[in-house]
Amino acid sequence: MNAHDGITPNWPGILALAIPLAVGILILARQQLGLVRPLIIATTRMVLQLLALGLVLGWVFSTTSPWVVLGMAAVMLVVSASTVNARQRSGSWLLRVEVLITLALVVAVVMGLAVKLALGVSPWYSPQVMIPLLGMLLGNSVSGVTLAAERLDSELRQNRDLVEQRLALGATTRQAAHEAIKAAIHAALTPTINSMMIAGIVAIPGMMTGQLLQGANPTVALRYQILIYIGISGTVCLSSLLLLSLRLRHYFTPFDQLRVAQLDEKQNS
Amino acid sequence: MTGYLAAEPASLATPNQALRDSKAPKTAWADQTIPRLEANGHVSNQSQNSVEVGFFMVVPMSLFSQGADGRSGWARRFQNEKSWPRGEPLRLSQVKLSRGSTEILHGIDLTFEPGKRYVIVGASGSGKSTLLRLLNRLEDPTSGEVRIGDHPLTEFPIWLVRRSIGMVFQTPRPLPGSVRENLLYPWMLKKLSTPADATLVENLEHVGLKGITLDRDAASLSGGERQRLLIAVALQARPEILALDEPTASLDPEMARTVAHSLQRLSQETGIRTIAVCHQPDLAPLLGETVIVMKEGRVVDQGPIGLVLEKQQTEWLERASSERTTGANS
Repeated sequence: MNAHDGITPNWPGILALAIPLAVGILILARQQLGLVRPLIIATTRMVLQLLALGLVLGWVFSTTSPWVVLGMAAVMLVVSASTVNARQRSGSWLLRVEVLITLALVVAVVMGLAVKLALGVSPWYSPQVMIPLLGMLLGNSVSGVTLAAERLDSELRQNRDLVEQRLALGATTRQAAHEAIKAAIHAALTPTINSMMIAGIVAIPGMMTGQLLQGANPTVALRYQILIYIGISGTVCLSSLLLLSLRLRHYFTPFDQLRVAQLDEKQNS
Repeated sequence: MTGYLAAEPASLATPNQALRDSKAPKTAWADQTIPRLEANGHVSNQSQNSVEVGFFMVVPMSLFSQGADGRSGWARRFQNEKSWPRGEPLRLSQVKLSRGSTEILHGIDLTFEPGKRYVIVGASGSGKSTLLRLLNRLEDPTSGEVRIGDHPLTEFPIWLVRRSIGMVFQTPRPLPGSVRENLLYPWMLKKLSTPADATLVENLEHVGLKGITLDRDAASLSGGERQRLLIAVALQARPEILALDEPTASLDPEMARTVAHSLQRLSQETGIRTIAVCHQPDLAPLLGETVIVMKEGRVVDQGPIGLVLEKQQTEWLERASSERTTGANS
């Protein structure tokens, strides 16, 4: 089998596939259950964004300059970091910058290992490899990293009294925030752990599905999928840890003091 | 951190500087064979020399190990940390504190003498609790200084300040886990070998908690029991001064009285210096003999509790009656 055996979905068919979605939206609207607007907006955005991506990728794939690929990677990083803001209650530009930095650092290492060692692609910036891999990594990691930041915030807020009690007994910042950090890391990694647990048993993961539909050899497709899972879990784990270390500085002073003023401020806003 | 010449050599045979210098009365509590922690992270009680303070401390070359305070031997040696000077007055001079653009404390000058129990009274929002938070550096003043004897608190490692000036918070919410886990937490923090159950039970009895099993979930205790457990937990760090933020506020009158009595007995038996915030005039005399009255972020009066409270009460009655008259006139 080769890639040419792949089946291409046709547009009228895809439109027909939108019927169940449309029915669902109608029922939501009739029963006043909400989410009608977000669903329509999200669907429209998804289609437009993917069409645009198709155009951009068509251009990027045809280039031979590493700068174009790196530029594209940078754009993807910035965009994924900026989505953090939408979900984070107390989001700020600083958080986005921190997410950007942590993701950039960890993803660079993971991508380097994947491209040079696991795939041995030449040239290393081959856009056909770099862009989809990076997309998978970022798409799956950014939600985990965001969850970690969100959870740290809510844990420290909820258990502020316990945290201060620990500090008052002589705990360091890390000791006092240990439970919060733990909860944050659990929140970040649990989705990845769960999806790895059921991978191949209950669900055939997205990347593998795509490759199989394209007619790829299953043994090849599964290697890609393993590569991507390990890459994602490593990225989520390391970037969450790194981000949490950075975040702690916003909640604690270097003298192991909880920044109460900041917590109060955020609560009011 | 400024350098100190008085640093103890980093060896397990360090004499117990802190206890030797102590001006506090020797008491049943102080005599308990619980090792004291020195600033350099070592356990200093002779009888506890074989105690494993962290995994590597059995090796005399503690230089390469992580100390009980979680820092490397190099860091500790470099910083030349000092042990806590016991029996010194705690002084606040021109202490101001702002949060954002609001100034909460407007230049507080206070001295907490050793051997006295203090109670801070005042309306809510007068800055009592905030003042308390400055005593063990849960917060630092925006300007001004808090000193123990001649030394600003900032000269000591923060954990030593916090363990020497304990703090009990207003809401009695124990850490998750059993009564034992709560009591052992201060020991775990410093990776010290933990005291035996019998000692813990004795410590609970000290704060008036009798017949509580150590395995009981701390969250299942009643409000008064939790408050006293938290006092017992704070005492595990062997503080010289104990700051209590409204220790009786969340309790019913009878329980409040019991807790206040336990504190009174505790301080008589152990010589621990307490500084309590209180807004219940009837309970204030149980919590201390010297009163500090705060109003809108300032100290407006202080002195022996009988005198000051009488004056305050008269003022309050006068104000209330004048308000009544103006109310009736309008």
